[in-house]
Amino acid sequence: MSLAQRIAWLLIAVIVTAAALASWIVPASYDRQFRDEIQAPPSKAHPLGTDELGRDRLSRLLHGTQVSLLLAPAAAFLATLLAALAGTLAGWRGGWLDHALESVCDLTMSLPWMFLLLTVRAALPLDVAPMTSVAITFFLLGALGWAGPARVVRAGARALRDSDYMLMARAQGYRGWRLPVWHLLPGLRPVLTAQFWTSVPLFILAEANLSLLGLGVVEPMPSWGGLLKEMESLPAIGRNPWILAPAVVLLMTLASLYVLMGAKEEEA
Amino acid sequence: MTIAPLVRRVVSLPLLWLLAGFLGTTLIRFAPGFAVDERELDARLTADSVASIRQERAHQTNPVAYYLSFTGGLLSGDLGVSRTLGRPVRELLRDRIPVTARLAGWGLLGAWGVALAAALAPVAWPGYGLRTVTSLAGGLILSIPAAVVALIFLHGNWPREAAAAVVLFPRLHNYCSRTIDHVQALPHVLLARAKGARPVSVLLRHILAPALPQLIALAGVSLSMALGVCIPLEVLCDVPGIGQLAWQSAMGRDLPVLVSLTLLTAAVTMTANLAADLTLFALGKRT
Amino acid sequence: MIRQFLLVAALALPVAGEGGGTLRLCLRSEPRSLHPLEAAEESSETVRYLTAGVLVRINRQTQRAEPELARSWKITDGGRRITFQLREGIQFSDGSPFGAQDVVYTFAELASDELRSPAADAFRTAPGRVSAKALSEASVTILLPAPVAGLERLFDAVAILPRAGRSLDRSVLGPFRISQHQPGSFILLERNPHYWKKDSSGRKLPYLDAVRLDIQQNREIEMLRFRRGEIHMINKLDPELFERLAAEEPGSAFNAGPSMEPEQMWFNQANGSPLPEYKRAWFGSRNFRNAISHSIRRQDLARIAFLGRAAAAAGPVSEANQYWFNRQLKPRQHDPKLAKRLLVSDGFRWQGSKLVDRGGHPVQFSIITNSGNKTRAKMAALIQQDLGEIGIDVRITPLDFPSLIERISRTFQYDACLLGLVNVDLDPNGQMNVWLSSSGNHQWNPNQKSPATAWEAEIDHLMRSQAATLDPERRKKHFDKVQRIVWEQEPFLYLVYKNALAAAAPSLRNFKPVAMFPQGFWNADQIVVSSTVAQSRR
Repeated sequence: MSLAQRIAWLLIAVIVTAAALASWIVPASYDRQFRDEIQAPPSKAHPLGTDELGRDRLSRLLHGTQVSLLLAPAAAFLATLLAALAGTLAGWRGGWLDHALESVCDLTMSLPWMFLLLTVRAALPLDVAPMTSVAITFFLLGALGWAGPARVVRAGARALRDSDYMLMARAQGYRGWRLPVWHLLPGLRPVLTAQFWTSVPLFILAEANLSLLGLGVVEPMPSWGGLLKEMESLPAIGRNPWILAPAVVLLMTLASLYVLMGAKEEEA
Repeated sequence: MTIAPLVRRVVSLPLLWLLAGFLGTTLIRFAPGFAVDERELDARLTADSVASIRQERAHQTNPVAYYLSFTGGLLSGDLGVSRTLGRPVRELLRDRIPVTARLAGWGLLGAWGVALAAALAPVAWPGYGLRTVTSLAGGLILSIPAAVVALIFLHGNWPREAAAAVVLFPRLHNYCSRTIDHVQALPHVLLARAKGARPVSVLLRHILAPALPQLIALAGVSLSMALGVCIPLEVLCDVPGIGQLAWQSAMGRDLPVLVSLTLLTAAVTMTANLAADLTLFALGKRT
Repeated sequence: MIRQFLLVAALALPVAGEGGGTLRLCLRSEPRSLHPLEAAEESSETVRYLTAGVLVRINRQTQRAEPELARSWKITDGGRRITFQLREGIQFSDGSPFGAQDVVYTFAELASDELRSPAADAFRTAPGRVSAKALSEASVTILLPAPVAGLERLFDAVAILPRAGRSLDRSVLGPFRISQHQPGSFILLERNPHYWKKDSSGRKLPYLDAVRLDIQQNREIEMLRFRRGEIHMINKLDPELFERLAAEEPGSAFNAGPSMEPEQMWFNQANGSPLPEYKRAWFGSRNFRNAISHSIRRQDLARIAFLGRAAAAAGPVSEANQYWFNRQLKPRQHDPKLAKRLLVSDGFRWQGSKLVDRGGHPVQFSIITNSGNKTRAKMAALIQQDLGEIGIDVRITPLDFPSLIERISRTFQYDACLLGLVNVDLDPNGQMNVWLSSSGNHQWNPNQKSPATAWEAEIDHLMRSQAATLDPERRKKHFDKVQRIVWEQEPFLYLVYKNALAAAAPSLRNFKPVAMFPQGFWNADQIVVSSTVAQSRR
């Protein structure tokens, strides 16, 4: 194990433990408003200071991690899985199935899905439990984010299908569903992992944007997306640089996972 | 690959395009708040006026009927009149398409340039940790909301086309670099290198060529990615382009504009994807 | 020495032959219509204010009606008829003369059935049409279908159009006229060379050569551009940006005190709402509403959400409204003991720390509000915690505006709503549709066939009585009572009035912001952009 991997493991361990033990590490609850300490700088009581409502930033960051770190990768996985399925099926089988999947891809990439999200919000009761709302939001993100990558997967699948490599596999007697699963998917892994890694942060941020439509994490629950959005008042960062903490933690998490996954790929 | 499926696709595309418009119309029509107007909250208006404002939407309530009349108008180049801006949609699109085309075009060009360079540089100069650096940079940009990137560029007084490129870059980079990394580790590249092929030739013939199908497909997809990125950038920077128009008319449930924009997006997406497929087909035939 | 000279030069108004510069500011959205009679939202009204001439102008500082294109007026027929004596020798911006026929034409346009706008609807208080008749070239009489109290004030919103056959774009009577419009981007106004007003030294107004209105929605960018000197003025500044500016450039930040814009919350009491019976009972109870009101720390809302740039609200009229504000009403204080007493008297009790009603239903409700408004989001979170302290579980749901409007005006699928419903008009008649129980804008329970409660019936009666009399003092008495009932019953929980905050570059002269629209440029014809200061700043 290289030094980078050790550091990565350590970081992940620290972040996951801290998120799991959030309420134990930071005594202040994420929604407790210390109204006399608005926008306070870091102190012993509040290691990352407080936000505009006097809430402990560290507590919010750790509790936000619980939501985002679990659900964003899950949604990214769903999108990747769908892209893999649609892409390989289309590229591998060709014919009418390819044509149909192509058409569905084109449609999915063209339609104004925002209105579907609005309709979903309208169908949900107003006092839906926060976790349900978050889960639905991430599910929708995953279910709608597959079309573009599916096209890239399909192109790869098609090229591989026609390659000498596949000819060899066929010659060796591989038939039926085993051929794509054992021989096609590994060749497509770069595209799929790229899709996954790009989707995780994008979904984390998209969740925060969906809160504009009344979906996603709602007050007073924190999420990384919501915390990252605080950066939008750019000049405030100069005075309160700790607003950047969520971005730093997110980047550290992504970088660590990236290093570890990279290692897995090399081993494989 | 035979030409028949492609021909079938080209023929069915207009139908698919019209279907996209219809599905879009239906989605918008049945979204909450479709029939309302902000003016209804104006206490200065009489009940009669509010009733007549509500009536303005009556002809849009049936999506089938509306879409038929819309497509009828489409044939004569009439896209209807925007409710929120009070101008013909055609005029709005005419004014705004060039703005967005410039933003998205330069953004894509920049993003592709940087993404390809960042993917190929570590291949040309391995061992300097270039891959880690570019991946981290990509990850960092992905962790920042597009709005913040735009604000940074505004503060710096830098061109917003560059902001578009920066936002698009990591979305392309990950695919490019992973695909190229994968290809360059394949046996035929090692063989070519061992045979003493020139690095440039290895890069072009043995690495880029096999990666090309996926890169071309990505190029097609990246066009709709760019349109998506234009929305937050234009809204935030107050660029009077298609993205800003899309957001404003979504907030006003401006059906004629939204249907036109859906058709426009569908046209761009479908053409780009078709172009990618045609290119692949042409390449496939040659090799 | 040089600095002193600069200061003197900056303070002086432009001397003859020198231009007043170009005033640059931002509009928050593209105007919906540039036709002055159709203006209904702020951007259109801004353009109308800067370009249109009116018969009577409400002085934004004194809040009194003053003669403008009309030299004088007289109200007769018990408030149904108003006769104006027009100023003579006035010209439109294209040089054509202004006279009674222009006023007659304007009112014919205003009475058109197709026109649906606040300016037109103000005259539609009863069946029948407003009509105008020229008595002479300089005298015109206008007859309304029914008497209107404070009639002269309605004319502040009626832009006088040039009589038929002349271009509306080129012929205006206000200080500026539109010279260029790039939709979605900017509107350039140039000075009207034939504007009739002169300053005390006899110099023709306006001083400014031009006004450039850039369409700019993003407030951060507006501030950025202000700091760069690209724009001279920001109206309606957000508290956060105001604080930042006040810290860095104190001379540029202006606070004109409480505005007329309230933040309010109300419970859904609509007849057709799908709410369960027990929730209807809560929301319909005065004790419940008062208890909620006493549980909210209005001071904290002002201090935290508005960074101290707001004042706790007592009722539907802001103290900025000099004549109509009922000074006896005080904002409800945070008083959890009183709140609990009120709840107990309605049969509520506590199970552990949770509040439950007589039937054992836990008291839980959602508050909807429009998304994207940061200050309102902060208010909602503060209210959530305040109510949590007395055992009420509040959920906050931000919605996009159309979805929100649909819920509060069509489906009535909501518990409570947090919003700011602005009263643009100083006069109580402008709020008629809010208070009449039969009206669609009676948000908590709109479109009632007959008043649902005795106090709503009384408000109906008082509002009609104040509108029926022309005696200002009696009107004030009636309207004071309306404010008192609203304070007692709290169909709307008024929370705060935000301050009218503005930013102005040091190069602006005669900048005197007020609480009333259009805050910073109500005296646009007298504002000067001094080039001396602008240069010395760079």
